[in-house]
Parts: sequence; C-alpha cells; structure tokens
Amino acid sequence: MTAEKPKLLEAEGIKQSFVDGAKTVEILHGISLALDRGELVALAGPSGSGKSTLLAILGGLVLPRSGTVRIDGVDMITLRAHHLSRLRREKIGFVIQGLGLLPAMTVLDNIALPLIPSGGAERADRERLNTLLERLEISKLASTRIDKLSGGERQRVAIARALVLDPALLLLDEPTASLDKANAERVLALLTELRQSASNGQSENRPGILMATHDPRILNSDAVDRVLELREGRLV
Amino acid sequence: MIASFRRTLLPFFLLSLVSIGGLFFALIDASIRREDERKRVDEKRALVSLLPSAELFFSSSARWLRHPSLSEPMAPFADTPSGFDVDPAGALQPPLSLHREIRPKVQPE
Amino acid sequence: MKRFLSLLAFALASLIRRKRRSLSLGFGLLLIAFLLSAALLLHDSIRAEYERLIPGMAELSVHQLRGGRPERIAGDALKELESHPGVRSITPRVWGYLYLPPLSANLTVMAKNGDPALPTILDGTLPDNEGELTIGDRLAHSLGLRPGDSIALPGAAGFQLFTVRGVFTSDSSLLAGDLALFTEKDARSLLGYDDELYTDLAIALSAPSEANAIAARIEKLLPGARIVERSAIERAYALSFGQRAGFLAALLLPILGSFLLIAWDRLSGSSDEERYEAGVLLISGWEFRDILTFRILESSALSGIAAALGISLAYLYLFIFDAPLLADLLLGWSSLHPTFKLTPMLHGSQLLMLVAILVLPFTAISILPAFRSANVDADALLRGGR
Repeated sequence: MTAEKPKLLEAEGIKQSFVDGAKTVEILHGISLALDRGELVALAGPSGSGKSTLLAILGGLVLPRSGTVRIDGVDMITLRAHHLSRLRREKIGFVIQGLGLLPAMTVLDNIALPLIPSGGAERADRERLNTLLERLEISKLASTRIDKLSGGERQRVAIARALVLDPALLLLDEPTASLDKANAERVLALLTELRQSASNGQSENRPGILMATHDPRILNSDAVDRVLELREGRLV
Repeated sequence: MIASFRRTLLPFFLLSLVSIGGLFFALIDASIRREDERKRVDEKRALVSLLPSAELFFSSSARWLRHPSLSEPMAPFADTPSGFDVDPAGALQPPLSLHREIRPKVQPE
Repeated sequence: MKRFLSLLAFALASLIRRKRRSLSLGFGLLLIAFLLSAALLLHDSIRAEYERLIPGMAELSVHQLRGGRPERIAGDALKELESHPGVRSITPRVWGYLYLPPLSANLTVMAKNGDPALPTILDGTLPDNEGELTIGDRLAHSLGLRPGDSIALPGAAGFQLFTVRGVFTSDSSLLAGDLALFTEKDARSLLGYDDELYTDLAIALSAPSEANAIAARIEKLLPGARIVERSAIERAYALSFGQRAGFLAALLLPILGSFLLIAWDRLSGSSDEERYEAGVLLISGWEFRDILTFRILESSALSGIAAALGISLAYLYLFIFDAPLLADLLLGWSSLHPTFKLTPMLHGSQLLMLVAILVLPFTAISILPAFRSANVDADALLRGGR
C-alpha cells in the first residue's frame, strides 16, 4: 500500500484573534482548507473578512492562535524560527496587497532580494532571472527604479520577486485591486500560465496558487479552479 | 552579486582605501616622529636643566614657574603664593598647596 | 562568507540609496571622531612631552618668599645642606622676565648655569662672553634675528647691545621659544640684580626618595620658603593630562554624540523607512538574523569609515598642520606664539581603541530598534501599512 502524498497546503482549525483595548476580537473561527500543486484557488470575501490575515498565517508570516498549517506535510506552527524562515524562503512566494517593493531600488534589485541571504545571484540564477523578467514582460525595465513604474508594472515586479526562488506555493493578496482591465487580464493570464507549467517542465513542480480577491473579473474567470468564500471569519 | 551592487561597491572601496590609508599613514608617521624625538630627548632634558622648569609654553603658567601671562589678556589670575596653578583648567580641581605644614612633633612621655 | 559578502554589498548599496541620510550621519560621526581624536591625541602628546622632559628638572627648587611674594635668595642660604649625603648639588640661578614693548611680550631672561652640548636643537652655541646671547626660535622669528646679528635690549640700566651666538630650533619651541640666555653678569645687568642675590636655588639630589627629608630640612632653614618638588609638579601634570580625564572624555563624547545623531535620524522619519524595509525583507524570505546582520554591517560600515577619516584628519590637523586655531586656544595670545610641535603618541592599540569607541556605541544604538520590531514589521506591512 502506497502512502498518500500530502497535499501542498493543508490548514486545519485556524483560529485568530486580536486584542482591541479590553476586548478580544475573533477574526478567524476555525478555518480548514487544502490546496494542491497546479491548482489556482481564489479566496473571496468582503473587506474585513480576514482574507489578508488568513494569507499571512498560511504564508508563515504570522502565527495563529490555534490550528495547524502544513506545507508538503511539514507543520509550520511547530517549526523553530530558523527552520520556518527557511521553509518560507524555499517553498512560499508572497505578494502582499501593498506589493512591498523598495521604491528607491531598481526592478532587478527588488526581484533579487530573496537571493541575497544565500549569497546573491550566481550565473545560473541570473539566467533564470532574465527568463523570469521576459516571462513577465519587464526585461526592458530591469534597471528602472520602482518609483518610476506604473501600477501594472509594479504588480508584475512583485510577482516576479515572489517567483524568483521557484516556490511551491504562491500566495497573492488582491493582485488586481488597483489595476485596469488590461493589466488585470495580463496578471490573470500570467497566473494561469504559471500554474499550468513549471519552470523545469515537470508537472509535480507546478506551483499551487491561492489568491485573496474580491475582483469579480477573477472570481468569474474560467482560469480559477475553485472559489473559497470567507465571511466573517468562516468559510462558507 | 547583482551588477548594480558591484557599482555601489566601488565608491566604498575607494573611501575605505583612503580612510584606512590615512590611519596607516598616521601610525607610520607617528612612529617616525617618535623615533626622531627619541634622538632629541636627551638634549631637551639638558636644556630643561638650564631652565627654571620643564614648563611648556602654554598659557597662564604661574609666574614663578615660567612663561608669565603678561601678554595674555584672557589669562586667569594664576599667581597666588600657595597656588599651584600650572594648568589653566586648574579651576576643575582644587588647587594643590605647595606650602608644607610644619607639624609639631609629639614627644613620647 | 558568501552570505556575509552578499549582505555587506546590500548594506553598502543601502547606504548609497539613502545618500542624504548617509552623508548627514557620516559627517556627524566624522565630526565626533575628529573632535574626540584631536582631544585625545593632543592630551597624550602633551602628557608624554612632560613625562619626557621632567626628569631634566632639578628635584627641588627653592624660592624665598616675603609677605607671600617671591623675593630673591642668597646663594649660600642653604650652605648647610651642601654636605648632606642626599644632596648632589645646589645651584643658585639668576632668571627673570624682560618686557619688550614692541613685541608686547615677555622674554625669559636666564643666566647660563651649564654648558651642555645641544647639536640638534641649537643652531650655534650658548653664550660664552659678555655681550652675547642665545635666543629661542620665536624670539628670533619675531625680531628677525640669526646667529651673528646684533640687538639692543632695554635693561634696568638702559639699552644694552648683544650679539646672537645661537638660536634654538623650532623643535624646542615649546620649551625655549621665549628664552634669552646670557652670561650671569649680563643677566644681572638686564634684570637689575646688581647684588649677590639669586632668583632661586636648584637642588639636585642623589636619590629622588630623599626629596621629603631634604624639603623638611629646608623648611627649618628657610621658614616660609616655597619648595617646588619635582614630584609634585609631575602629579599636577598627571592630574591635568592624566589618563583618567582623557578616558572619561573618550567615553562620553561618542556615546552622547551617537545618541544625538540617532535621535535626529529617527525624528527625521528614518525609523518608519527602516521598519517598512524590514517588513519587505521578511516577506522576501529573509530571516531576522539576516536583517540584523545587514543593519550591523550598514551601521558599522558608515561609522567605521567616518571614524577612520575623522581620526586621520585629526592627526593631520594636529601634527602635519600644527593645529591652527586650536594652538591659539591652548597657547593663549602670547605674541611670541611658539611653534606647536608635539610628538604624536599614536600606537596601534590606541588606534583600535579609538575606532572601537566610535563604532561600537553608534552601531549598538542603531540596531536597538531592529530587535524590537521584527515581527511587527511584517504584520504591519501586511495590514497595508505603507
């Protein structure tokens, strides 16, 4: 009997709250979900429903009050800080709502940020970087400062940075929120292409993509495999 | 390393060279000057033996030691009989009295 | 090593990215480094100069006082002590001051009481006969005199003409810049000491430990006399230029300075910028220790370069350019104005200590915020903060 391979992402019973003065406010009430490689899942819900918080927990950036989050079978909650950081770096790419780019740095420098703690970009890395830039149609902007780019271009830079280490799980928070139709479609097409093909052509290495969004253009798109609806901290 | 990082390293490299070079220069120059001074120190000591004291030509020395402050409008009043105001910053510490007290000897019974 | 170099490159790039901040902080640090180094180096040089020269002084000098004011003393006032085994010699000395109105300066007029060979610090010779004098470099410079020239000096009995036999070099400027050495007869004539009295008595001892005992004897022989003990002078210099005072200044200035600089930096918003940056780095997969290393490298690179430049500039200022302005402050407004030539006492260990004093407090204070805010940064960022 062969053991079942664990899913890429498995979250069980995630609960989160924050303290507001004397009160404790519950944001997430026991969320459980799963995601596999090659899946493109949208996490829908109105503002304030806890989407960003859930993504932060799934991305290992914030610890939940209770629950487990497993990436390829490894429970992130129980990991020590150093190992958690390594897991995040190796397996998870994150694009936050504000994009989190350093405006005074160039496109290439921003994208290469994840590479620095491990010694910077080697020659092989640089070839991959160039491929990535071409794929995202930002090659010509490599030496341009972030503060000189348009919203759509910045979004693509943020996605490129999240992809630079070939993550297994890609988490995006409102990737099309401030984009026009054309750019939003571009991003969606890119994500679709990503989840369909891996950088080395092997299907087991296709990333799983989880997007928090309330953009109907994405929610109604055929590219999305599933839509999870989050309402008042619960999945409906 | 990304190419743009290499560009930024050059000015720092040059700046570090200049600053460390400056330190090395200071160390070597100081060593040479100390060596030169070593050759002169015996003569300077001999000169001191000709002079009223080893007092250096700084402002406000006591008149009875040397280098009086007649030509210094800003000199504090250094010339006190029991004063020992060798240094103009003497106000920061209590003056050392030069007068030795003649203590009467207590004769054992 | 690769990780370290990569983080270092990123740190240096970060300094260049925030050019205005880096230049402002760097300049502030350079100024602190310059002031501190100049003070310490000067301090050490003066102290070393005194330590070197004091052994040339007589162990005891005796001044007669009357009514608390100095009076001249008989040459044989301490004749009784001459046979004391602890006393090597008692030399009566004639010296005083002569005011030169054209220079608004005092000369130290001294009767020669020895004939040492001074080949490297004397250009010429000491006076051998009446009508001759040997002068200090500043006097020579102010009056435009060289060996062989003549000068008339206003003595007690009117103007007297002298020929310059020798000029002390600028190496001895701090000792002899204002000096005019004569034969005893000429010195007495200029000063108006036309009797057998002397300015003071210099007593050389066979052993410095005899000083107390001899001083006690002198007190009995000359009640109320001022006895200048060399050891007391050494102590006074040690107090003024001693290591304790210097060390305290060394600690206070850079710490205070760093606090002020960092406070200014934080107030100008750089802490928000840094928090945002830390959040971005965490999201990009950096660990907290990577961010800490990066900040330490950033702060120590900036402060290290500023310190090294500041120390180098201080050295150049003091010992190559002879400390303009500062020399004026220290030396006062003496119109004879000695050449400020001190010997630097800079050693490798002292240099390292200086650099450490300048770099460590600044780096430590700079990275304190990083310790507190690592997790908060990522979370705040995710909540859409900036």
